[in-house]
Amino acid sequence: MIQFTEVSKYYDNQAALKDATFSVGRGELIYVTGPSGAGKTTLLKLIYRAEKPDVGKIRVADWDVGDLKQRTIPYLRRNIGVIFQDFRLLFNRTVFDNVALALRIHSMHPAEIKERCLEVLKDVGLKHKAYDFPKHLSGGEQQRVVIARAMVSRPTILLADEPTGNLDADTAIIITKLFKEINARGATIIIATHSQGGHGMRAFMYCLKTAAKNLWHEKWINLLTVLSIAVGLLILGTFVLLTMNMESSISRWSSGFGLAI
Amino acid sequence: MLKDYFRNDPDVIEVKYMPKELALKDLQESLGPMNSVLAGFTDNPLPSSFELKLKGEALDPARISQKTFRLKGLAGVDDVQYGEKWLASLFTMTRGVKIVTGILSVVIFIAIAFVTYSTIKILFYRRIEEIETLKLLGATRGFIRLPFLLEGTFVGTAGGVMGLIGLSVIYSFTTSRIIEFLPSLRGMLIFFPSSTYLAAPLVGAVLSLAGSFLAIGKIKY
Repeated sequence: MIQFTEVSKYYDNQAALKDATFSVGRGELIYVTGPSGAGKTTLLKLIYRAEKPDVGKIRVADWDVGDLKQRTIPYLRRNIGVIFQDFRLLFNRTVFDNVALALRIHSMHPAEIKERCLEVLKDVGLKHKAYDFPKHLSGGEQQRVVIARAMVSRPTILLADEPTGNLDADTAIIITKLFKEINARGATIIIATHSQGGHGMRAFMYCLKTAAKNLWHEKWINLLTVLSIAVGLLILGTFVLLTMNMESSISRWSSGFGLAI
Repeated sequence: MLKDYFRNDPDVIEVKYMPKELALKDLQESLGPMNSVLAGFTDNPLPSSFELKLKGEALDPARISQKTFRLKGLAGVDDVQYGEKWLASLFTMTRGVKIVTGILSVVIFIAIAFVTYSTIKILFYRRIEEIETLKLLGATRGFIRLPFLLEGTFVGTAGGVMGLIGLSVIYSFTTSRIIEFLPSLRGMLIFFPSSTYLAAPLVGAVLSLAGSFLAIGKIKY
C-alpha cells in the first residue's frame, strides 16, 4: 500500500529523513515512534505530498508520489485521511461544517453529506455537539472532530500525527480504541507518536454559497471595491456620453449646409 | 440641373430647394412681431438656395473646405455657407474628447482590474489558513479558486450597475439644468440606448474576473 525506497528529505542541508526504506501493507496499523525532530511529521507529509522527496521513490497505492503533477495531488489526498498535529480546524465554522468540508470537495449530495457526518460524529461521541463551534470544545473534543473529518470520506489510508500528544490519559485511550475500530474496517493506519503506543454542480453550488457568505463577511472591503468600480465607470460613461452628444451635434450641423444661387 | 448634380454627389444625403419667396416668408415668420424691419426692402433681398445634408464621414473640415471650393466654381452658385469656424472648432473639440475618452478608458479599465486584484489578494491572504486546510483535504484548484472568482465577478457586476445608475441620475439632473438655460436643446441631448445598458455590468464583471484571476494566480500544492 505504501512503499518508501531509499527516501531522503533535507531542510537547509540538514537531513530530516535519510535513506528510509520500508513498506506498509493494506489494512496494517503502524506506529512510527521517535523523539521530537526525528522526522516523523516529515515522513507523513511525504506520503500525502505536502513535501516532495529529495532522493528516492515513494509509492502510495498506485501513485508515484514523487512524480505527481500539481493538478493530480488533490486526488491522491482524497484517498488519505490526515489527523494533523495542529488540528487545522476552521474556527468560524461549526463542527458539522468542519467535518462536511472533506465531503463537499468530493461534490457529494447534501443529504448524503449530512447522513455521513452525523454518523461519524456519533462514532467519535460528538453528535450532540455537531452545531457547536470548535472554540467551545475541549482539546480532546477538538481532536475527535479532526479524527471525524479524516474518517468521514472513508479513506483507504489514515495518517495521524501525534493524535494523543495533548490529551489526558482517558481521552488518549478512547482515541486509540477508535483507531483500532477504523483499522478493523480495513483502513491502513500510520500513527506518528513520541510515546509507544472523494459532481461538478454541487461543488459549484457550495462555492457559490461560500462566495456569497464571504461577500457579506468582508462587506466593507467589497463595498469599497464596488464603489471604486462604480466611480470609474461613471467617469468613463460621462466622457463616452459627451463624445456621443458632440458627434450627434456635428451630424445635425450637416443640415445647415446652404448654397445661395 | 444643379439639383441633379447634388443628387449624384455620393456625400449628399438630402437636397432641399428653397425658392427666394419661401425663404422670405420663413424669415418673416421667424422674426414674428419684429418683421417690420423688412418693410424697408422693396425687392426680396434673399437669394434662392439649396440646403444639402451631408453624410457624417463627409463632415471633416478639410474635406468640406474642398467641396465648398468646388461648389463655388459651379455655374449659378453665388455663395456657399456652412459656418466653417463653428464646425471646425466643434470637430476639433470632439476629436480631443474622443482621444481623452480613449486614454481614460484604458486607465479606468486597468484601474478596475487592479482594484479587484488588490481586494481579492487581501481576501485570499485573510483566508490563507482555510485554503491550506482545504488543500490538505484534497480540494482541487478549481474548488479553492471558484469562490474568489465568483466574488470578484459579483463585485464587478455590482460596480457596473451602480455606475450606470449613478450616471443616469447625474445625466437627468444635468440635462434638466442645461435645458432650463438653453430650452432649444430640449430633445437634442442623448443618453445611452437601452440596448447597451448591459455593457457597464458586463465590463465590470469581465475586468473584475480578470483581476481576480490574476490575484489568486497558480495555487501550489
